[in-house]
Parts: sequence; structure tokens; C-alpha cells
Amino acid sequence: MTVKKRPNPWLLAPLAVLLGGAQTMCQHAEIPERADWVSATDAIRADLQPGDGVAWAPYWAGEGRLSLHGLPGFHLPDLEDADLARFDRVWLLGAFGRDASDLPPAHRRLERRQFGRVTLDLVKPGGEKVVGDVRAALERVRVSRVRGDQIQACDFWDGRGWHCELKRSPNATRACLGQPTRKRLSAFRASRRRRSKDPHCGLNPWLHVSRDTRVVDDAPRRCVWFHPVGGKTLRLEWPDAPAADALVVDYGFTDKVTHNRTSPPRVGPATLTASRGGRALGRHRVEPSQGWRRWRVAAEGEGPLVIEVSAKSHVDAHLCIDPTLRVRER
Amino acid sequence: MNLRLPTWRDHAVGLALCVGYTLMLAATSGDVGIPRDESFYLDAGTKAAHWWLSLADPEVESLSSKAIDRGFRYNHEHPVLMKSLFGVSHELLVERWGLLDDHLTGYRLPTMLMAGGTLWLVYLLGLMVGGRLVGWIAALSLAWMPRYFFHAHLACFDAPVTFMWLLVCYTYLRAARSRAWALASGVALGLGFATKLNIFFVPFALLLVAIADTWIHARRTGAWRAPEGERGPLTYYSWIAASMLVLGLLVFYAHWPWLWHDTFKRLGAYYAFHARHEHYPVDWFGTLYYRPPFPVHFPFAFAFFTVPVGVLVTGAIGLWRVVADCRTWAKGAVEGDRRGAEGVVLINLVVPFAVIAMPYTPIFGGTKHWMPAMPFLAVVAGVGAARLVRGLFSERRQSVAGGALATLMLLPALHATLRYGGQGPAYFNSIVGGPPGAAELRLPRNFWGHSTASVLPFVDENVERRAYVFWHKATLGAIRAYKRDGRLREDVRYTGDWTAPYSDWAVYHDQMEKLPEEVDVWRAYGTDWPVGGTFLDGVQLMGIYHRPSPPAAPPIPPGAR
Repeated sequence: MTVKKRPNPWLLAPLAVLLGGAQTMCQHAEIPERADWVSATDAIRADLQPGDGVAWAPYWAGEGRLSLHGLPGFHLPDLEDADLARFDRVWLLGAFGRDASDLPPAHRRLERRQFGRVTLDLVKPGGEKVVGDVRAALERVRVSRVRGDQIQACDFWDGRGWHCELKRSPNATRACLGQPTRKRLSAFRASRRRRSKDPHCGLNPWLHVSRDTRVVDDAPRRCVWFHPVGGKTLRLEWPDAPAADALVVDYGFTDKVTHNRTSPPRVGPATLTASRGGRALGRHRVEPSQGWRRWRVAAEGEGPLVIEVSAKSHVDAHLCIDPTLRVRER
Repeated sequence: MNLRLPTWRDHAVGLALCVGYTLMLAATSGDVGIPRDESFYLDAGTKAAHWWLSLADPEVESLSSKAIDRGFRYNHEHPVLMKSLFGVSHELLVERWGLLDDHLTGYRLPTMLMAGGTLWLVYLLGLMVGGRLVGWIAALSLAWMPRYFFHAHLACFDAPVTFMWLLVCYTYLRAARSRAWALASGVALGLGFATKLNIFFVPFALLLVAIADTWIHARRTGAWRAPEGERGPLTYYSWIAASMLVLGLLVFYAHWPWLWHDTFKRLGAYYAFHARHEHYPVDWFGTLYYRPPFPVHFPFAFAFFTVPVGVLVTGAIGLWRVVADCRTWAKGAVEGDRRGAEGVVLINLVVPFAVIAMPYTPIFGGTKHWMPAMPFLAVVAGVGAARLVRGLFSERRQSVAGGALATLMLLPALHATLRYGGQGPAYFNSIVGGPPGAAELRLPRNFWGHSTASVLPFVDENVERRAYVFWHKATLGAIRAYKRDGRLREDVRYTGDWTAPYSDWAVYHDQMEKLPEEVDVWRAYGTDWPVGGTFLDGVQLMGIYHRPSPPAAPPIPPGAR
């Protein structure tokens, strides 16, 4: 009879370390080179069409962003909830095992190419399509503040958005905004020492309606800064808004005001209303809590699209919205 | 079995470890950037050094309250032992004697020496607990922890207080068997108080061991005191307690001239600053914690993810052994004078974690706050490695083949230290998938602006002459220190905090709670895409942004003013 020798259980310890080492090697084998990202984005440039968008995944693989200059890049923090309705086609740069297969099933992959450890997927978005984008069309909207029958036009364009209050003439304000860095920094430093210089060139740094990016719900959101003014209604009117089935407003207060680290948040609720051609589309309460939320209303018909916001107080009312007009399935 | 006391040969091994590690740290100092707090300590160190060195100048009234305030008012929320050593080391080695030409290394050398000394003590403690193999593996386990390696460079207090904590425990263990060492234990505690506040917890941890040891002795012998003519635990611990109370407080008071005037008012301010310390946000598994209560598992889980796997494996075996030995000790079944040695290791492994695990303890900064536990974890890992070797090899082959295997098991840790040590706080082990896995799980990978060093070559090469750079979390003191060592061009400007809109270049330190500040740069520059940065395994640690040339005046839409 042969006695079967049992393996020594202490061998498990060095084996566990060996396994850890092997796991590290496998993990390193997934890391793309910078050249992989460059090659993939070069390929996008060669085939880029109007209406295309470019994103990368996973979102934390920040090295991919170095190559996005000159491309219509956009942020896609969550592949699983991707809203690609703005684009005709989307190029998705993937690494670390993430790629177009993580997108919602409505989106269809047209082709895939491999560049080292970077996967390049061309995706045809499914579902609804954006036909009107307030953020993109911001130059064409009219902004005003309304209290009773008093209307204050916000008609100064600073290159990024609309301002209601000027302390200098428009030309002097523009000249100030165009000053070199040295002069603007000096004005900023003087203002911090409580001297009279104004680094904002007479514009209100908070109360305006501008193209923006803000951190809402732990991710950067491209949006329109839409800070309510206490006791007034802030109105945004888009005279030539295209016909659509629905108005979709993604919105949220910035994380800075919903997560104030030193004291309880001071931001209060706000109310959004929308109308089209004089016909009310809906009214929506914006809760003063962290989140990037969506308000959707039917928006059939024609005529100017009007979106208004009001709040009792404008303390910390750092609201950012991303309104789009959409049509149903493509 | 008696505790094994070190021989001159053991001290020679400890010294070799100390010198080797110090040289390794000095050689890699340039890879480790200057965190915010270090930049303040450099300035405070210079001021303190001028005061200490002025004592030799009869024409200066150094002891006047004015002179003391000049030397110690700045950054008076921390005691001055280490700051004084940083400053004196720099002043003498670099400025006066010219022995070093790198200013930063001049400041950092005391920390590096103490980190080397920590390896020496870890080796000795391991030797006392379990023999040479335990000491050897313990020393390597500590040396090759990437995060410890990172902190072991800095002119800060975390590596020094780790050394002091261990020194107090080592002297305590010796003093529990020898009266001469009681004096040393009091002085060691005083030096610990003079290093950083968290040493405050050590006497309480050791008091528990002393009570247990005395009680076990009483239970075994039927008397609290030793027989006439002998010394028992109660006698030794009484001497230690007296020494710690008298010498500990005396050394603390004597080392800090700031306390020599307005003593109680200033002591009160020192206590108040730390009792009401501000909370900083921490990103932990996708939740940004801004204020307490913080998760109790935080320090335990964080350590589990950031200690190399080899140390965790041997540490787990060692923990099992040490707990079993403590149980044997508690039953009074230990012979010889080993009393409580394993207890000292175990309780000092647990206490630094337990302090941070309290839901209302500030948790910013991550692993450095429980770093004093790491030497004890290393000793436990050494105990585990020795047990493993006994399980695998015959007695004849244990020292050579077993030692080689245990050392081999630590080679991945060495690799991790060399690859990630310069960016220590970004290191995560393979259990979470390294830095990419940590990013996926949203664990904190950066803090305090130390990564600036990694982008200096890019900035030096690419920014225009006299460019205005927004340095984000790097302080003016850090930028000046880089310039002084020739690592950054003199003409490059520092714009200050919150100045992204008033700069042409921006350097961003990737930290979840700082994301709004990266977005500020995007808004100011009109682009979301960096032109350079530091990426560790593909994950951003630093982003560099450049303001594109301003276009002609933006077109004015119809109807606008």
C-alpha cells in the first residue's frame, strides 16, 4: 500500500504571494501607453465627421484626455447611463477592460479598432435625438430678470454668457476683460487686500447666465449657469427654438453648496418653469440637495421656448441646468 | 524562554540596515515632492535653527521672550524637536559646512536617519521577540512598504514619531527587566512628546501591558510584590512610571522654548488646536466624507489595501501566533522573562489604528496617521515568516533556505517601493488592483501637493519666460524650495491660491474634493484638456493646463451690448 503524501499546507503562503505578484503583472499588462491614446485619437481625426462626439472610458483614465485637443470631446462619467442624444456618432476610447459593450443596449457599435491597449469603438447612438441645445445656442437666447412688470434686460455678452449689471461702459468692460494676465492678477491681488480694484471688470461674478462646467453629483457637468435671484424671476428665452417632442432639463445645485464642509448647507429650493409659444409646459421644484437630476416635459408646438427660475433667496443658489429639445426615436 | 537580548553583532546588523536605508532615502529624495505641511516646517525649522545656533553668540539675548517668539511663534501648534533638527541640519550641513549641496536633503536628513534608526530598532525588537530571522524579515517588511518609504523622506513628523513610538516601547521592554533602562524610557517618552502629539497614547497602551503583567505575576506567585531581595514587575513598572512622568514631562517642557513664557496659556493653546482640529474631506468608496462620523473600518481597510501582499500574508500568520502567545502569557504559562513582550507588540499594533477608527477622529492624510503601528506590523510579519519557515523546512535548512524564501516573498514589496515610493500616497496593492483599481473604487490617491515635483521638468521645459503659473496645492514655500535647489527656473511665477483665472499655466493635483478647482481651470482657460501631467499606471495624479492664446475679441451676438 502506498501512502499518499499530503501537500504541506504552509505552501499556501508563498503561493498567495506568488498569486499577488502574478495579479500585479496582469494589472500592469492592461495599462495603455500614452502612444496608444495618441494613435487612437489620430485615427479619429482622420475619420471625423460633423455631429461626432469623442469620449473615453473609464473616466478616471485621465491620460487619454491629453490627446483630445481639437476634437469634440465630452465627459462620460458613467458609461451605463450614457446620454449620447447630442451626437450622430460617438467615438469611444476604452481601456482597462471598459468599452462600448458597457453602454446601454440602445446604442449600436459600428466598428472597433485596437491601438495597443486602447480600444476605439465607433457607436451609433440609439433613442431620442437632441435637435436644440440651449448651451450651444446661448448666443441666440435673450436673458432678463423680471419682478412684477419690471423687466431688466441682461444683454451684455462677455464671450461666455449674459450679464445684467455693468459698472462700466460695455466697451470699457470688454477692454478690461481683454487685459493681459499680469494686469488681471494684479487687480485680483489688490481686491484681496481690500483695495478698490475689481478683478471682474465690473461684472457680477455670480449673477449671470453663462456657458459653464460645474461639479454636480461628484462629476463635471457641462451646463448653463442659471443662478436664481431672490425675489425675481430669471428668464431665458430662445426665440427660434426648433420644433421638438420634449424638453429635457438636466439640472442640479453644485456640490460646493449642497456639501458645505464647515456648516450646514444654506441653499434653498428653486422653481423651474417652462413654456413654449406662450403655452405653459410645466413647473418643477429643484430640491436643495446633491444630485444631477432630469426634468422632462412634452414640448410640442412652435414659438419661443422660455425657461424661468425663481427662488426666495439667492444665497448659495448655484444652479446649473442643461436644457435640450429632443425628438423621439431616430 | 527568556527574551533574547541583542549582542554587538546584532547592533552591527541594525546599524547596517540603518545606514543602508538612510542612504537609499537620501538618494531618492529628489523623487519625493514637498507636501504643504513640509513647506511650513522648512520655514519653521530655519527660524528655530537660528535661535538654537544663536545660543552660542554672547551678543544675542536668546532667552528673552522677544527672541524666543521670533524663533518659535511661527507654526507654534507643533513642538519643535524635529523642526529644530531639520533647521540645524540644513544650517550646518548645507549653509555653513557645505557638506551637502541639496538644501531639501539638508532639511530632511534627520527624518531619514530616524527612519533608518527605526529599522535598527525593528530588527532588535524582532530579535528579542523571535530571533534573528524575525528581526531581519521585520526590518525588510517595514523598509519595503511604499507608503512608509515615502513618509520616511519628509521633513515632517510622521516618520519621526513612528521612530519615537518604537523607541519608547523598546526602552520600556528593556526597562521592565533592568532599572538602568527606566531612565531611558522616560527620556524617550519626552522626546516622543517633543515630536508629535500622538505619542500621548503610548503610555496608556503600555500601562495596560504593565497592569496585565503585574496581575499575571500576582496570580502565578500569589503576591503582588517579588520575594525579598528580588525585583518583580511591580517594581520595574513603578520606576518606569515615575521616569515617564518626571523625565517625560521635563524633556517636553525643556525642549520647547515657546513654553518658557506664558506656559499655561501656550500649553492650553497647543491642546485646543488639536482638540478642535478641522476636518478635511476624504473620498472613500465613492462617498466624499466631509465631517464625522467617519467609518470605523477606515484605517483597517485602508491599511489592508496599502500594505504589500507579502507583508499581509506573513503578518496574518504572525498575528495568529502573537495572539496565541499572548493567550499563553495571560494564562500565566510563560516561563523565563518573556513577560508581556508579545503583548507590547500586539497592543502597539492595535492602538494607532483604534485611535483613528474612532468615528470623530479626523481622518485626513490617510495612512500616515496610523504609521506608528507599522513597525509592530512588521515585527508580527517577521514572527509569521519564522513560523512559515518552521512549517516548510527542516531545522537544519531553516536559517538559509527559510531566510531566502521569506526574503523572496518580500521582493514584490521591494518592486512596489521602487516603482511607487516617490508617489507613496498613490500606492495600492494588487488586492484592489493598484492605482487603477483604487481609482475605480474611488479611494483617495493624493494629498497635500507633494506630486508637484513630478511636473517640474515639464514646466521648466515648456512655460514661457516669467510665466504666471497657478500651482494649486503647492505652497509658495515649496515653489521657492524647488527653485533654490535648481529644480525649477527662477523666472517662473507663483500666482497664489484661488488664482486659476489669473494665470497662463495651471498645475492641478488630482483629489476628488478638489475637482471643482480643476473645473475652475477649464472655465478660465476655455478647455477641458490638459497638455501634460503625471499619470501613475494611467491614472491622473497631476494635470497641467495651458491657457490657449486669446482669440480676437469674441463676436458680439445680435442684440447684445
